[in-house]
Amino acid sequence: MRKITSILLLIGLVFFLTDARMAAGAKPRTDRGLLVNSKESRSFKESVTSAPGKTLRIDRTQADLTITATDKNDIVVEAKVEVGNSDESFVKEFLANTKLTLELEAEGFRLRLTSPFDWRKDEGKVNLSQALRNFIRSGRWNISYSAKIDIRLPANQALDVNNSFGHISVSGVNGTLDIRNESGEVRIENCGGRLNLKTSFAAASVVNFKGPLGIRNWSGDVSVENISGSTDIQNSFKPVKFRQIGGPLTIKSESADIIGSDVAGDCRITSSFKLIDVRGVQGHLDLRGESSQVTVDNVNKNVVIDSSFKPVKVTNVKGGLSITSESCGVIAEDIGGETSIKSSFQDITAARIHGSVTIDGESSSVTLRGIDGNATIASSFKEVNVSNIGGTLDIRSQSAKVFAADIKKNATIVTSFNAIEVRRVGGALKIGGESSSVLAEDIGGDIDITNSFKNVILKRTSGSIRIKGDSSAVEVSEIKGLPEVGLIDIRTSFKPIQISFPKDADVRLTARTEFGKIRSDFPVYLQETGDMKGRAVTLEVGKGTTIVRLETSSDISIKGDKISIIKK
Amino acid sequence: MHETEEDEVIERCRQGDLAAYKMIYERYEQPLLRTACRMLGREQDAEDAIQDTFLKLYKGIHGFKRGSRFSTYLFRILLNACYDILRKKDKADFKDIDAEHLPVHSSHEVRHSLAEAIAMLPRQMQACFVLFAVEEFTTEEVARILGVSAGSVKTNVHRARQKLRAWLSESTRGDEA
Amino acid sequence: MSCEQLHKYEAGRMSAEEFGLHVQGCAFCRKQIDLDARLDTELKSLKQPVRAPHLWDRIEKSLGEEQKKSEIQRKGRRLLRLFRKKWFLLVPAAAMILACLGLGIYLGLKQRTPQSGILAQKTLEKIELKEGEYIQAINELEKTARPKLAGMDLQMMSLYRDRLAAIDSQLERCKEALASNPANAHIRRYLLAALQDKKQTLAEVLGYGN
Repeated sequence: MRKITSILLLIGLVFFLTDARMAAGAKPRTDRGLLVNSKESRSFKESVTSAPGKTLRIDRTQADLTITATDKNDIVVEAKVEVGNSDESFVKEFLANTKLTLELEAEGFRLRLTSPFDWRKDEGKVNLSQALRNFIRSGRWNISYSAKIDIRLPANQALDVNNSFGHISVSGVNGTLDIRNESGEVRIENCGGRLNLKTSFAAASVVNFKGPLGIRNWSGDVSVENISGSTDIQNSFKPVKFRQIGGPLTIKSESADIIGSDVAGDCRITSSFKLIDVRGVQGHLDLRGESSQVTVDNVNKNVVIDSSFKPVKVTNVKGGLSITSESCGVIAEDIGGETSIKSSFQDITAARIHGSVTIDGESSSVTLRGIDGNATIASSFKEVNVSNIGGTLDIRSQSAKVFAADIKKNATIVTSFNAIEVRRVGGALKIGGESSSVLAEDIGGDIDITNSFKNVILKRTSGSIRIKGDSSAVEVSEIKGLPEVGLIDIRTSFKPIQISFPKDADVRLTARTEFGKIRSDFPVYLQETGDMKGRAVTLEVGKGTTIVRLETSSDISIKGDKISIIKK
Repeated sequence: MHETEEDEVIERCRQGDLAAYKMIYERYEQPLLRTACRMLGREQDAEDAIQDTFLKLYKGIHGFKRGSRFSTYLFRILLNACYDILRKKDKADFKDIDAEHLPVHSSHEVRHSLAEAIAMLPRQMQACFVLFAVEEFTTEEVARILGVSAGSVKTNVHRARQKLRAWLSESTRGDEA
Repeated sequence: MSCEQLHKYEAGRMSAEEFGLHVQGCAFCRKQIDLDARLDTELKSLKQPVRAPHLWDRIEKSLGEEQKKSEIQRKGRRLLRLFRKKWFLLVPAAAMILACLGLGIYLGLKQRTPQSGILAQKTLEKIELKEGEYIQAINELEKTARPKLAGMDLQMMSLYRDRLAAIDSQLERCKEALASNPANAHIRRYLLAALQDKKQTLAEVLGYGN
């Protein structure tokens, strides 16, 4: 029993000592002079009768400000100031010498919260004890201070606020709002008039503002929503978000994401190195995004984009589109007007363009589908693939494969060292293909081909044919139509020519070969070659209205197709 | 480790044999770590979750019914430990003096990897997907671990795949360009 | 964009054969299949082993501590059983414990401060420690980041220099404000945020081009 009682007493003693230590509290550390041992706070209240249209000025505060509009004509200010220091007497004296005043000014009122902090600037004007003065003079400045100010004022009041290291919240105020804050969030809600906001290193947010606004926020997030007037934002390094802007929108940013939608007016955006995503613009959109990934959707008027190095995607534009970029993949779909895209080294795709398209894509693959107007392409080294062109097609490329189909009007294609395939062209076809094989089918108009070293195959042509090949084998078959006063002139070297005529063609043909043989399904006449080497034949089929000249140094084969010409 | 061997190890765990816990750890280390990493996004948090899991296992080993599937029991504890950590992260405030969570300003997150994309899925969807598609539990096992129906697991996995396909499509487009 | 046939197939209402036929004519479904295949390939990378070489040591330590705690609790329960037999000992023991606890609670409550804009001493010290850690990390990062910055292309270098200069000016502003207001919670918060921002930016510089 004695043993148990001892144990219990021991337990009690332990508890008591622990609490005694707690009661004593941690001893103040005085080595750094930073000590908050004593904290006191004091509340202030001031009020004054104002009138609509007056200005309330709040400057050089370092406080959390909450400003709310009321339906009364009074300005009521309630402030709570908290002060902390090692010395309780300093704290009390500091608070005792802190004042909140609402002073009358020419345009309205000025709110001031003065404290012994200001004594250093207005020496002698503040009634401080010598101890506190000495303390302040000593430079061991470890009085800590925090203030919260609550302001209720008439709704139609202008505000001029200059604050730092505190959050500002304003709601329901209509007037000119000039707000400057540093290192503190600003939130403006359900206000109107005109807003000029300058802040830094903290978020700025404006919601439901009836009027124009301008925001400058360095290294701080900006968020605006439901603004009825014009909006002008400048910031850097932090994202900008916007939604439902009733007027024009201008954003100038640096290295910041810009994301938003629903702008009633024109939109101008500049940023870099980050994402730009804009949807739903009623006016024109002008976008500059250096090394920015760009996504644009649903713009009522024209879109102009200047970008580089990151993908660009534009869809659903009712007006025209112009993209100037460098090393960007580009996708443009459902564009209502003229479209011009310049890029390099990445893929370019345009589809469903209700106007003409101009593409300048160095080392870019180009894909066009469904272009109502003309298509003009300058590119190199990567494939060009176009189909469903409502106007003319003009491709100037270099070392690129070209595939083209369903071209309503004329087509001109220049490339080299890669294949060219063209199908269903309504008008004339002109091809320049150095070391490019050519396959052309269903061509409605005249054909003019210059190429070398690779095959030329034509099927189902309807107009004149002119081929100038250099070591190119040529094959022409299934001719659908021959012009009444037309010409087929095929010249090549070292490779054979093979041509098939419909049985009811009207052709007068001359075939000449230097070293090869001439075979013909039709009866031919040997021709005098004179001083020229080789052999030549002539033949005539039907009325002989179409002149055909074939010349090569290799074999020539003239066949008769079983099909008939489609008479126009 | 066969099932009978596992039963013996669990019996030794009930008797407080730490070596037996080590055998459990060695067997399930990788699936536990991978699952926790996918759920929490950070290896440090994943290690904390697994430490909590073993502590809870130790305290609650007598609650494990003989004849039930041990892996299901273990992963259920793990997921609860992960959810606890996620809940604490949601509630973090300045007074915790964790400056990593200072809510001074928001930032725009960009997914750089599939792991991060999975970490962004809604929690139940994420758990279903990680357990089914990554750790290859069956639908029924996942349902038992999470305490939901097999149908719910299938729906969540399906939706997770849809979201991840959409993510892959977007990020691939950026890569291709 | 979506395809009804894909939904049906995924919901098990269409056979693989039927879906295979549909896919031949549907570019969207072909793309989804392709994405699925890529997803499965990417998922394989998630099955790579994760290294946690010291994790078992931590677990073993915590299980060991729990074992000890359980032991103490068992002993405590024995003590309780003893009290149940000799209950008359409880009264003086309880009285002493309650008195001490009451004193402790009273003093503890007296010391607690309501939420305020000025940090308590302990909190301030913790924050200053954290700031110190960030500054140390920043100093380390700067040693390798600055040379890397100098080697970047002009555009990126200018961008990062601007950003670092902006953060440095914010740090200066915060330090200046803290010089005359050291325990202000708001200023401390913003200083910590600026330090965090600087650390992150330097880490980005180091990671650039990797």
